[in-house]
Amino acid sequence: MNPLYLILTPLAAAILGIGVGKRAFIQQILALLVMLGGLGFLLQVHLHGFENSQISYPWINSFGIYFALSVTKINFWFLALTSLVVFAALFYHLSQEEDKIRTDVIALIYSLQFFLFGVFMAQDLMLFYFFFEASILPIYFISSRYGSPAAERATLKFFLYTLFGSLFMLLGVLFLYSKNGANDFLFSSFGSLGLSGENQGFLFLAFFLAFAIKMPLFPFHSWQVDAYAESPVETTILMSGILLKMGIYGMIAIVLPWFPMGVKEYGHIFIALSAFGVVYGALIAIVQTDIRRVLAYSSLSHVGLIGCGILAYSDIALEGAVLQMFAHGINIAGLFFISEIIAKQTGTRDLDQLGGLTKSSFGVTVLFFLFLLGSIAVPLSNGFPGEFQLLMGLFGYNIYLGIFCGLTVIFSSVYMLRMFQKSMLGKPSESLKFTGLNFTQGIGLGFLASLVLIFGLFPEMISSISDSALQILLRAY
Amino acid sequence: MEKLIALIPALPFAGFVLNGLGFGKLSKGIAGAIGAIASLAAFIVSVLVLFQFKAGDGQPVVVNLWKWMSSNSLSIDFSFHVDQLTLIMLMVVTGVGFLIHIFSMGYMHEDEGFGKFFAFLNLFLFSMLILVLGGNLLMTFIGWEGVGLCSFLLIGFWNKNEAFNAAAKKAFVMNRIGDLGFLIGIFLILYRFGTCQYAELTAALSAVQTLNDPYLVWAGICFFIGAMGKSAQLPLFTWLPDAMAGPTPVSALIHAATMVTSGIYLVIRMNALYATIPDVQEFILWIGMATALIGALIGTSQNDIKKVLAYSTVSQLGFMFVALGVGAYTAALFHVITHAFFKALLFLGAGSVIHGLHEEQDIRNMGGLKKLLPITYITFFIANLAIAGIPPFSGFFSKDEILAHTFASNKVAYVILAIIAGITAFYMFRLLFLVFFNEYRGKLKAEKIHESPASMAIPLIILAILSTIGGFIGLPEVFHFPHLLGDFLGPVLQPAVNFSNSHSLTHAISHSDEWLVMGISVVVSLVGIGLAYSLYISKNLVPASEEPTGFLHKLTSNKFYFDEIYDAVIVKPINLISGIFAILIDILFINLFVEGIGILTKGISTALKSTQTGRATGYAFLMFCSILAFAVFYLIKVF
Repeated sequence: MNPLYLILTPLAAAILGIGVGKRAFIQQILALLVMLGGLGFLLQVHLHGFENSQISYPWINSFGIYFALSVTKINFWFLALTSLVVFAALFYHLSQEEDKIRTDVIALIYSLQFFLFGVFMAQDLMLFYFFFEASILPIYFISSRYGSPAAERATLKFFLYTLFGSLFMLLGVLFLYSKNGANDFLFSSFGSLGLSGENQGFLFLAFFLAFAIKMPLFPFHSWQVDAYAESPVETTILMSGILLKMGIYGMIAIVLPWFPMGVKEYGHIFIALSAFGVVYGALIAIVQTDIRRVLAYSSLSHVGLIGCGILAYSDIALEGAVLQMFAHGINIAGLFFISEIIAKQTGTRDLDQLGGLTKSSFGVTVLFFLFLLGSIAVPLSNGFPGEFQLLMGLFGYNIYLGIFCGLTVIFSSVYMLRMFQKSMLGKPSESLKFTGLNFTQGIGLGFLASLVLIFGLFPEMISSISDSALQILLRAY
Repeated sequence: MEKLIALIPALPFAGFVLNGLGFGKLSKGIAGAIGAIASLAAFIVSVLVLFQFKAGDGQPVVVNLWKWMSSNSLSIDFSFHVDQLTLIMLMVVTGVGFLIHIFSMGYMHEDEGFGKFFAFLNLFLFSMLILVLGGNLLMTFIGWEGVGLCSFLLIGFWNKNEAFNAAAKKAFVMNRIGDLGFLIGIFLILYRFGTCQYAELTAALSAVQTLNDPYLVWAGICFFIGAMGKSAQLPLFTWLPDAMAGPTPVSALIHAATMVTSGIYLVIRMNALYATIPDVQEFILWIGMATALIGALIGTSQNDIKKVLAYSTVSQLGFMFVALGVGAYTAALFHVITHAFFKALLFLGAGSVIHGLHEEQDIRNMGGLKKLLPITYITFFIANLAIAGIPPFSGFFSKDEILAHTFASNKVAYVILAIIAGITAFYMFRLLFLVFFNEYRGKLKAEKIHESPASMAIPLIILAILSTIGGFIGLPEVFHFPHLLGDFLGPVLQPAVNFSNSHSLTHAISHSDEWLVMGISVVVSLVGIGLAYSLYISKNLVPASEEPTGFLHKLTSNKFYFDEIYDAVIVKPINLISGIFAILIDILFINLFVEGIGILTKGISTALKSTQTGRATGYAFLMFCSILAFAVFYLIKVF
């Protein structure tokens, strides 16, 4: 299967989407087809072998830059998650009244999908860098055109902050190029450069900074909460659900295999920092009153755990990181989706003003609770296998660290249940108007929620594809 | 047989799905029938499995369904493990579960969330069955968290009430503290033995010959922390009394008969581990003892009928852990079974009283109900005799077995435990006398007080029969009858027995001692009952509504201030730290630092902008300064 099919589908959809205009139903069918098409493509790759799914064309010959893409066992689930989260964002957008539907937003979301596919599939470092940078643009345009002034400011901060991190990565890319005798940027050339420990050390720092800001890991997270809380919800879903996974992907596919000495030298510092972030984010989430801010800090906590797991060079934790990356994308997208339904209909996101909504909508209650269970990693939900393996791997890396991170098991139940009880349960307030889900929202959320259970029961679907590849990444340790 | 085993949890799950999807659409009759039939079917299938198992060779049956989680160094199957211990738990869970479903059809009849209630009840049954059927530690953990979740859903069933919601959240969070312990225990086991499958694990543990291996000591403590949370032991017990916010059938099923005994189940399941770590057993013994004592003491001064029973449950669970602490696994499980009967009966009886009195729970407003609620009265009386340990009711035999084993291994512990048994008889009969004897003290007219309908009365009667004869499955050795339970359970406990024998850790008890212990049990119970009689019948005392005055009384009626202490030591500091993190560190420090860089950049560029004046003289001056600076720099460098 040629990866061009996959990466060009969203571009085609963007053009089609502009043509279709505000006809919500056709747009929904289109979004559904793009999602199913993406997943179907991946299934085909899985069935017919990964070795047939790579391409490489010379792009800029003088520098040895190639347009090289491939579906690998490592990016497989990142690509699948991209399709799912983009679908969630689009379905939220398309579930509004027809006069609120914007074709430019739809086209921008599809173009983001194009860039994301590019980031995950790129096998050329310059191409990767190009897609990595370009992916901020659609987010920035949506936020600045349709967000509040606060959203614009928050997105600009996000923009500048990640750009700052990327500069270091660019330096790292160029340095790697200078060390590469083959004079190209191909991933395959960088795995075996035999760099000195010192070089690996600062390359680790340069790449790590870019990815840590993107994820974000504590203490590089200060753009996150405002950006998640203030942006239009489509961008929040995209940022939390899939954009930050670029950072995770970079850590797994680039930092881990190329700079093992750097990871060994500096990794423990950042594990300690992001482990602190795990508990730090959870504790702050306990006292937030804005639903979106609760979710934003919960995300800081969850992603921190993933960050720890990647750097702990434990196979169990690394596999847990991939499981949790996928689960987190689905759960956080579902939760932000629901939070916006609540906010739009009741006019508030303030937990102190909400309450008793379960009376008005059984559907929202059930779906909200399902995503919440995934998020607090109750067994048989998708969050459990990942969290279990992450904690187990970290426990093996360092007992105290494992127990410390394990506190998230307790704290996550505190802030999530608090959020659920304060919004859905309690005495119904007379002044709050809430009608629940419309059909589109029901379909979109119901689909995502079914994944919470499916991947809780059969997490082996993910592991059986990615495990062997992840093992190879850890060979240098 | 494999298919039948898989069917057991599947049946209540199907009930949950049907009632969940049909919520609001199905009539109450159908919703109740689905729930009850699902639980009955699970019971029948369990009985079938029991018979098939007895016809077999007695070896554990393992059912592997699919590979659940795996990695290079980890492989966990979605699997079930059926042995004697599982079968006994299956009988108790599905049997008592079914009776409580029937009871609920009457009790919850007026409730608008009727269908939802049965959906949750079925979901609970499913989780509990996964817990006892689980083929490895992680499967048990699925059920373990599942029952905690259902407990959360059912405690907060009437979710318009904020206090009930708070109780539900408290239960879940406290359970999760224990769950973290359980998880860490699983990590330790997985790293040491590479498997958490029970059959393999038991074999691996049976090979351990070191006493109190530090690594295993920690694993044992971690699992026990899990048990503390689920089975409401000190210090994680304060959620259980609050859990009484849930509907009374829930209190009977989850918070008395089944879920709260999971901790005991876990320790028995891991007996091959605990046998090798007597230090941890000692720890369990004293934690159980302290819990039994504190629960019983608080029970003497509570005035809410369900709260008395809740603290009684806490105390009785303490008894079971004492049994585990002295290695008397059979006795512990025996008490789990009899306690399931008589405590479920007590709670359902309390439910019948509350129902009959139109939601009255304060025993000071009761009294004289024996004529108005005769069936409830008689069955409640029987349960009282059972829990107080009067022969030949079931509680006598199980409690006596615990006392006898404690006597054999630790005399001090025995004395304290016997005193607690006396206190138990006292507070239970205090409850009985205040509720059913003397004159009615409430405000309702006698004709408004009604006996419960048949759907509620029949489960009471069945449980009363079980509470009466349930003890005969484990008769003391002196009677020269077979100990049915002990004989049946034997193979499960073989690893512990082998280890104890090879390290001479067993304590034998002579027949004369056995008679002595039995005699003392009866005497202390009678003393407790007599005391309650003299206070609440002869003197006709009613607990005063004003603040208690005596030190001990104040302490017990305020539940030893556990909630207040936790609030001050844990909850408040955590909230304070959260606030500090949220405002001081996150907004003022980290964010301002980052924004500071932005402001600094802007400042520098503003400053530099001012040099671009466009006047030639200014540039000339700048040029002159620069040349001067270079010259100075050069001169310094040369000399």
